[in-house]
Amino acid sequence: MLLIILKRLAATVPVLLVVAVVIFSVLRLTPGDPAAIVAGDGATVQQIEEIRRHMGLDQPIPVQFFKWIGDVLQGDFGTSLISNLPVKDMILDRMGPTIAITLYTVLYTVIISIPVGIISAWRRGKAVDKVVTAGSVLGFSVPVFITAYVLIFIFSMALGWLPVQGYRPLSEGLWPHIKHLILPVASLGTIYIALVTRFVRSSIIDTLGEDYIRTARAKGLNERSVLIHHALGNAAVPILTIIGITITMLIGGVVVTESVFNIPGLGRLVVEAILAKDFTIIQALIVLFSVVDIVINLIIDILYKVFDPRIDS
Amino acid sequence: MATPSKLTLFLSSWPTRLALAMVALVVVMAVFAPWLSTQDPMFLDPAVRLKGPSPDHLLGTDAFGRDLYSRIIYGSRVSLMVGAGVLAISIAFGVVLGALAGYFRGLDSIIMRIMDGIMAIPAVLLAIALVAVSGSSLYTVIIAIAVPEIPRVTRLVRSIMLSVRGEPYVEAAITLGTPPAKVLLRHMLPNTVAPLIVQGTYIFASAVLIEAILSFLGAGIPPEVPSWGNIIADGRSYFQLIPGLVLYPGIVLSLTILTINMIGDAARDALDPKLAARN
Repeated sequence: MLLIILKRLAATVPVLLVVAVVIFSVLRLTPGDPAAIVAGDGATVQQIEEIRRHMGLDQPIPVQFFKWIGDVLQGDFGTSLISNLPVKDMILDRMGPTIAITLYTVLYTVIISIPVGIISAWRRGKAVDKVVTAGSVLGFSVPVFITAYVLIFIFSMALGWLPVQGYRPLSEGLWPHIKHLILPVASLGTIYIALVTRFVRSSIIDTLGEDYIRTARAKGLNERSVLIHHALGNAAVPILTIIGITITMLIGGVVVTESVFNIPGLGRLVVEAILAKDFTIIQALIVLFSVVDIVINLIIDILYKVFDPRIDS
Repeated sequence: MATPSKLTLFLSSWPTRLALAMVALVVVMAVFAPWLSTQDPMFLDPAVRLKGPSPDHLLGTDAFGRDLYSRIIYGSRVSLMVGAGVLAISIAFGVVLGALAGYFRGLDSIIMRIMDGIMAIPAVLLAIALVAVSGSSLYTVIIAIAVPEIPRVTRLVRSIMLSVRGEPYVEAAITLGTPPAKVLLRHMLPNTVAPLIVQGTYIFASAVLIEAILSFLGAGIPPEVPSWGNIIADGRSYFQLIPGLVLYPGIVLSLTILTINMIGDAARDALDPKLAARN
């Protein structure tokens, strides 16, 4: 078991290295001089040169790369070019809302998608199934910000039930916290519910065709038990995988959602950094999100090797 | 199954026909934009800022007094160009890389590790970073959206190549001394066409979506160009005053993505009877 985990861990090293090289090259090797961008339009050649030295851009590329990797590994993401604060502190400061949105969205998705997907698979071809199938195509076709504005239009502007934007941390009370997150999570959740439901449905349809399901039905088990214990149990691994795969997409959605609802999380920090051309922050956040994605998929991989010993390494 | 029956199967359901009609409408909008629009989409008229619908301005005007209807019509051009550009780049690179990885075992692990790395970076963020460093223009946006799509095409092509490699007709061709290039082009790559048509449709839809997201966030097409994402971004500050500034372009954008995805689903069902049985 330990060996499998170690092997899987070792396999992430090349992926992490590629991520680092890609992010580094995107920000340093593409046309466009970061120093000139930071300096602004009116800067003199001397000022640009000064900034270049300050940013370490006058060093050879490999030196810059290894210095950056070394710093990142020690948890040092550099200093913001604009605010002069350590990027690490800015990230820690903004993490709360993002973690809350992501966590609630995943929970909401699982609670809705699994039962709906199972029912849709069980009633395949019936009216319920057709509604679910059509609804899921609609769900992942409508951009997050459109869903968000439609929900704001209905629940905040027309009915006046929920706030238009903003965020309250849990420390300011449970209801204010939840009230501000209902619409963001509902908007972001629509896409993931659509994707995951579609996937749960097809996984369950696959397992329902298996021999052990026929056996279970033949020995007289009721449908509920067949669906929950036999079908869902065996479809769990692919369902877990799809949740892992969609995490990268969820991160993209968080950026948009936080921007629409004016939530001071990491997603808004990305947008602020783009507008201010603060490459240190952009770089740090992409590294952070990629690592989060890799780690989540690593945990899922290890988890289902624990739960399903048939999967070999 | 013969080709005509696949086409008949594809066209058999009315939702698919409706979807095709909608996509055709967007193409017509893009091609005939100068004739369909009622005004120059960039024309600023401070006298009619933020006005509701009227005979002069079918969907009203934005905060700069620009005609919303004409801007939405012209926006279709950007979306279709981005979709087509991203499709061409990601398929071209993905097919070459996937074929190399699937045929030459030595290249496989190198290419696939690089693809794994790119896939681990959230697509929207990678695209944002690419646009942020190289400046916003139609071309940088197309390239920025295409780069994260390449690994998905590469994986698909590679997996088909790997499964076809063991087929008797491929083994036979190799045994007969057919040069690798010919085995690849004549015997193996044709198997990727049907799955690529399906995947290509989804890539097109996803490109239209990501362009809108990038422009909405201010990291996409230059702000003065009428793209659907830009129109929505311009309208968001006035959303509570005039919801139509966001909702009209939003509906057109959503319908376009929805119908392209529906066509993708229909193509998948028609081209892959095994999958269709499941869905």
